[in-house]
Amino acid sequence: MSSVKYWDKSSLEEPLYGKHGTGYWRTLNELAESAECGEQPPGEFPDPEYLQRLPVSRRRVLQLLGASMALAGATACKRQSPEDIVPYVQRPEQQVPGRAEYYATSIPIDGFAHGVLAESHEGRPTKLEGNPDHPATLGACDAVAQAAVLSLYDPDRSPAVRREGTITSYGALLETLHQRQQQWDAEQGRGLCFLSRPVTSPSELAAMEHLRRRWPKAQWFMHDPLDRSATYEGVKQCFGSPLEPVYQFGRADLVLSLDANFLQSQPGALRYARDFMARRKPENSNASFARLYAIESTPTVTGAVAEHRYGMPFPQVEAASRQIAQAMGLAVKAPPQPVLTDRWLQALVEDLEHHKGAALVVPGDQQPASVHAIAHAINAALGATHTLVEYIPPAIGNHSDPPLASLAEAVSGAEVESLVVLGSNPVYTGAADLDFRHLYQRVPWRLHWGEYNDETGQLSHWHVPATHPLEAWGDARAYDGTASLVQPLIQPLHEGKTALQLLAALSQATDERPRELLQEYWRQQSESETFEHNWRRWLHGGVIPDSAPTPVSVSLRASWSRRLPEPSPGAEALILQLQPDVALRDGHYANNGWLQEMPRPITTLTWDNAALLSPQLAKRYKLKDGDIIALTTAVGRAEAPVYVLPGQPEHAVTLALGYGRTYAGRVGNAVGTNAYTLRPSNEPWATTLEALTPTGEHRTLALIQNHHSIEGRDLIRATTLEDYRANPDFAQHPAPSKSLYPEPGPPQRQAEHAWGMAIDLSACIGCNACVTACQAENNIPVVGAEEVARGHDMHWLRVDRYFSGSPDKPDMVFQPVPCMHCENAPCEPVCPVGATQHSADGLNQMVYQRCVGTRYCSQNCPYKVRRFNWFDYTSARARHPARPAVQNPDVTVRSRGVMEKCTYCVQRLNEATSNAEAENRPLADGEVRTACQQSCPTRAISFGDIADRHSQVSEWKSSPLNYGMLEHLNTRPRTTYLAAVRHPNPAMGEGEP
Amino acid sequence: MTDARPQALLPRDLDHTSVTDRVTGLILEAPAPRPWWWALGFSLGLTLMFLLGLGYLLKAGVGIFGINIPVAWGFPIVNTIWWIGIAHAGTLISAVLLLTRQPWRASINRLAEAMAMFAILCAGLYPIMHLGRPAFAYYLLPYPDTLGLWPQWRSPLVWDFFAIATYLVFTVCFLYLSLLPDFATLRDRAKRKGAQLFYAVLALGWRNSARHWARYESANRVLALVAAPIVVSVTGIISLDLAISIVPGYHFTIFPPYFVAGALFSGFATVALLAVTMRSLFRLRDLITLRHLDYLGRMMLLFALIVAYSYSQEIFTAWYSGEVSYRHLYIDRWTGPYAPAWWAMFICNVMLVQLLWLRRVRTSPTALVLLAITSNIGMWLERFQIVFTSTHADYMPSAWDTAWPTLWDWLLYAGSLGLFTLLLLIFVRVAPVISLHDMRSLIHRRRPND
Amino acid sequence: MTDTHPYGVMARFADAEALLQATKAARQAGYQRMDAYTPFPVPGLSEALGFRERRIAPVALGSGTIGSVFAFTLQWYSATIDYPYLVGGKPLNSWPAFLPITFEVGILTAVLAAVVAMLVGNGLPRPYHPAFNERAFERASSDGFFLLLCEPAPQARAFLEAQTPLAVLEVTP
Repeated sequence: MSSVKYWDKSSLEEPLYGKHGTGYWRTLNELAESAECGEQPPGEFPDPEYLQRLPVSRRRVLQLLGASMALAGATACKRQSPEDIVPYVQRPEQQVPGRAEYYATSIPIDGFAHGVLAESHEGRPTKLEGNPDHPATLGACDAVAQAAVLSLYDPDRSPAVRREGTITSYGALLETLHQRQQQWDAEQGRGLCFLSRPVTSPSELAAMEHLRRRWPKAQWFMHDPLDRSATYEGVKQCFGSPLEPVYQFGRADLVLSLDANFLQSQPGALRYARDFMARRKPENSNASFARLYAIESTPTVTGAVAEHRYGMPFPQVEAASRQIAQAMGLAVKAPPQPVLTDRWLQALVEDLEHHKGAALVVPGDQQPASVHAIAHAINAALGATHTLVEYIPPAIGNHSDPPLASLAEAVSGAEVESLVVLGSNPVYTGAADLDFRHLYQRVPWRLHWGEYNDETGQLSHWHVPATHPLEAWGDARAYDGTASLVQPLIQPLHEGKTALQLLAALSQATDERPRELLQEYWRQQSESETFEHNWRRWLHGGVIPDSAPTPVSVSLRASWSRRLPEPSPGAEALILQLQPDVALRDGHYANNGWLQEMPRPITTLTWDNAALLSPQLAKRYKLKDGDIIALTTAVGRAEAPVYVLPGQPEHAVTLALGYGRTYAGRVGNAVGTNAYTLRPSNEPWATTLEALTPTGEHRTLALIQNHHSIEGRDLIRATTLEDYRANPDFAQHPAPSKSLYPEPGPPQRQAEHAWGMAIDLSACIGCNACVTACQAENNIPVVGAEEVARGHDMHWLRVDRYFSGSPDKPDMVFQPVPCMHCENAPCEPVCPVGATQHSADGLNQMVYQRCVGTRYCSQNCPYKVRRFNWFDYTSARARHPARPAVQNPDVTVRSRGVMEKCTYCVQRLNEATSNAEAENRPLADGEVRTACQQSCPTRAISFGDIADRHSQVSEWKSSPLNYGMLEHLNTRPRTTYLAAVRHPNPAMGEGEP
Repeated sequence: MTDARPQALLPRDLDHTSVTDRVTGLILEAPAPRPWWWALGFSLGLTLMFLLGLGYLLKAGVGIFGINIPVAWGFPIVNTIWWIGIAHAGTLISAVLLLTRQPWRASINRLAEAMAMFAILCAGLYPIMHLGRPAFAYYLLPYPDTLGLWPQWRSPLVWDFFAIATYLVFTVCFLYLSLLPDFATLRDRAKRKGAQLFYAVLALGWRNSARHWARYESANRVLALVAAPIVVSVTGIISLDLAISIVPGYHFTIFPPYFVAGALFSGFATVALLAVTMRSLFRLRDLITLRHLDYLGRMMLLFALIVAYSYSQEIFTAWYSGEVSYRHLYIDRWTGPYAPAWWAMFICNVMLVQLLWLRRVRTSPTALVLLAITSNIGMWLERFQIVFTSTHADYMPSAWDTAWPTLWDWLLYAGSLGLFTLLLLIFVRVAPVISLHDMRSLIHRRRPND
Repeated sequence: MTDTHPYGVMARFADAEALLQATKAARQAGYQRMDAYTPFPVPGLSEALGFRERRIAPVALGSGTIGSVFAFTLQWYSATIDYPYLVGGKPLNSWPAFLPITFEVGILTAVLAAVVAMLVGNGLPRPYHPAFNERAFERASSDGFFLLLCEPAPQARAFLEAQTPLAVLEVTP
């Protein structure tokens, strides 16, 4: 009976969805269309039995009308402000169809702004690149920021305002808010609580401040799952006030990391990586070569780069720092038993003393306040304060608000009447012992504002969709406090509201225009007559100049060490260490295919968070990769697969946060294990592991790299600085040059350009930003866990990771491997149809349309850089359908059954060369950059014309460090490597960590 | 084998009339024996499975095979090489033995040729199934392309295409040529109108004229002459698919002769298998005698020894090259994830066949059948471990990975066996399993030394 | 049987030897238009009929050579002149790589030429031939040895009678 349909909610949403108000009535008729209703009444006054026969009675018709009127309101959702819609009748100025435009904006990650340039094709953002003028990125871009553009088009983002799960209008919310406000005003906000994410946005903070003043009795809480409170606490202990330390690695000759992964996952990591690795260039012999010591609880890229890495369980890092502080003559209590060997400690401390003024100690964000305090004290002792480390007022304006635990108390104390959750997901990210899922539901009125209708949104009375940064007006501060603007590249795809809009709604129950709200704030900040001019300048640059706060001058308090807690006896028990996931962070990005499929550094694991076990521990429990174990802490139990990781401390198991989501979306749901269920609120980062029990189950891990030893192959060449200075040509191994054919090749190879690439292994930190950049630029499909596990991964570029030395104290090296574009490419002569051939300027080209898929080229490629479309990975029928909107129009989308591989971003080469031709000028060096090169934080990749003697890549290739991989096969690779040079401390000696 | 006395190969009482009656009777009068029906049903089932697999393959894509990067070649390649090998003995028996006038070939060459043809059909299907885009297989052909494109002649896969095509055409001609006079016999013998018409069309009006025979024999001789080069070139070229590449384990200069020997080994094994089956199925013990089986056994042994020698040479080269990846290759083949395949191959192809030194084994049908089966398994495993173990761990340890056959791999392999059997079973019901005119010549030549 | 002028006279002999004798005799008697039918190739019989097969081998060889030359030329032309492109740093005319196909195509054409030459030479396919009119002739494909003289019936019959055949019969056209 079709008439039942009308009252069925879901069937109403379908036709409503995506329709404009005007179209709606037709839709209802279409709904009503069916055999019975199709037949028309005979006359103007139909006979009664005809009316009886009708499935739709007169009463029903009236009900229908009523319903339709009510529903007509719902269509208001999709109405867009008319004046913003630009009809494309005649082409706007300097808008050339097919030519990308770039806009400066910024992507907030964990609250901190990453300055980016958004590439836009006909008003459609397709790729994010680093903004060279932004202090936090300097043109680099990490994987998380780049993947934001994919989230923009995520069909699982929350499309509409919901009231108890059903779609309603923003207007309806404003109405409710209006009533609520009167009540809140009456009681000055008693019983009203706000739970916010960490906020750096000046305008947002101002708006929040406004609300605080308006409702003084309202309580504000800040929930950061990646809790950084210890950082401020530590500084406070030393200098009296909570401040944000900002490090100047550019001035450091020696760095000691106390479990700080400052090269990848701390605020400012991009900038830090750039500054620090720039101090490690072996070529310029006059400059010194910075040395890195790393004490860390879980192997990270920082530890991999370090000359001397010391692995120890999380709690022992404090003991170690105490040892160091003591050895440097600071008045701190010694740990019950030392953790660092005397030799290591002595060598380290001597080195620190020797580099006074140029030595820096960096505490890890997750480490307790005491470690931070000790680190800052040591820095003060080393004279690093104000030169190598500066202290600024925290960019996170609401860092002093009480945490989620306090809110939990308040709720259980029944003090909370209404709760407004701003961009946070406490139901998922709350520590297990708080059991916030149930507490939350005890709050009488719950409003949730977020990009996704996530675990928290599901349990809220009201859910308001948040805008994606690429469709929002806003601002945010970078790690160093620099304010940068967030400008939209596209009209909101759904009914997202910016933070400012929502705060405005909360205060005055009106729907404001996001741009005006933002401008209003900044107009107050600058003198009004120049504002319009400045505003344009700021938008253009993406950064607000000189907006970084001036460093606060601090002095170490004498009493600092007395505030330290008593040294805890080093626990012998197993420790469970939690850590932010490099790609998913706290789980916010779980529904992003690019990030899920980004090989995690060190493990190369995708689509999963395995429990990282040391080889010794794995041996004791007879576990191997993929075996499922049950982990039990004081607060919970969870099951996770094992990954045996060399270098992992023996008594510590590490598990990444951000997995096991239930309402992330189609991509992110039920991927991996929810580590929050093991997390106690008092020990957020490390807690005792009460039980580790093998379950006997097994699951194949989706690993990109399955073999971890280099098997003594001559693929990576590395040495120490001393050895390099003594024998610069160590990397030059003579390769046999005999050939049946005249070398090099036929005359046709001579062309205007000869493209080539060089990769500096000394600079590569293995962060995998290049991999995601390549994926974004070249429309590389996401294939999913099963396919990756089967060896069907599609990344054109992979970062190889090899272990050497002993399994408990291994050395790690990284090697990015794109296509080598061999001059004598082995893949070419074996293709039966000429689908892969050589261009005159030296590119090894794939002709997708010609490829029949024999896969012979891949068989014959010694570097194994070719990827094959085993199934249909791109169409709508695929397991992870490609999102047409995000795809790069300059790159072919590959069909099933064809081979593909790195093209040196040929689309960029052609654009640049044709531009140069059009302007009748030679192509400048550095004018064309590949996606991987562009995104690299440490500038480890150089690309250009090797026919041009003076190009950077030519200079790199002329370095004695330059070598080609597997040269002896006479493949003549165009991609070559600069051998890695390390600078170990001779005093450490061999065998020591 | 020059001592082959025709007597031992022929029953004394046999003359032109009786041999003709016997053999044509099998087709024209005698109803198909029960086992034949069972075999037919079974192979039909397998063939349907094959079609099912094929359908799904075309729908889903080659990802259904257990292959990946680095192991991008899998069962289709293994099976192609294996089937081609089986085809070879067929050709060689009828050709080389014809040239060298081996009297004992007469009663088995027909089987051998038929087997060769159907084996090539199976072999020819796999390269297409192997392709990522099978619909575009014709890109390998030199045809007037609108874009002016040509095949890339340097690729061994193009050579393959021509080699296999040539081989197929040759085998069809050769088989049809030898069938032509026998079709004439059937035409003249057939009682039913349908059968008469059917064979009349196939016989093309052959009249057994002396002039016919004269041209017939020289044409036959020409084909026999080119048969040997074809056999060698086809397997040689297929082995080049591997040998041309730079993959350790593929790139061995010894491959062409090594593959030919291997092919003939498995080929003779299969002939022995079929010969024994047919002689018991159609009660031809007096036409396919123990003497034939003895000779087949000797051939198997001979080529098995060559194969064993090739293995030793491969290992020696790997060690002597001093190239780290080559040395690793063999350690890996012996101890790596695919080690069982290598050892099983070694047992089948090198150890078990040594039993053939014993005359008793050679002349015992059961023993011969068993050895024939193990040898074919062994040769299949040889191709498996060449194709799989070589690429799964070559130059870049970071890219090392393993690939394991899926259900679909096995299904399509078993299916091809079914297809092969089905065609063969139908063949023996419509054409003489024994070459009549060759038998007659044999009988004729026997006369004088009576 | 119509009473038209007969096509020829055919005699059946006991075995190959007898047939061979008769054929030689007939040839000496000056008979030209004749043919012999045997269930298997009898050595020396076609010579006895005065027929030597010399065509097929040279035809096969010749066409084989032509095929090879064509194949090589096609590869060389398409790879170096018609559509040259760079492949693995190899010269455009990497002739060693062209040889396998050259060889295979040669073989292919030779084989086809031989078979076609045989059929054409024997005038096959040929659905009708007067010899087939005789029921007894069916034995020619199993155990009968026949000699056919296409000459005016009486003296041919007389001659054949003299050769002690198993039977003599007239063949109507």
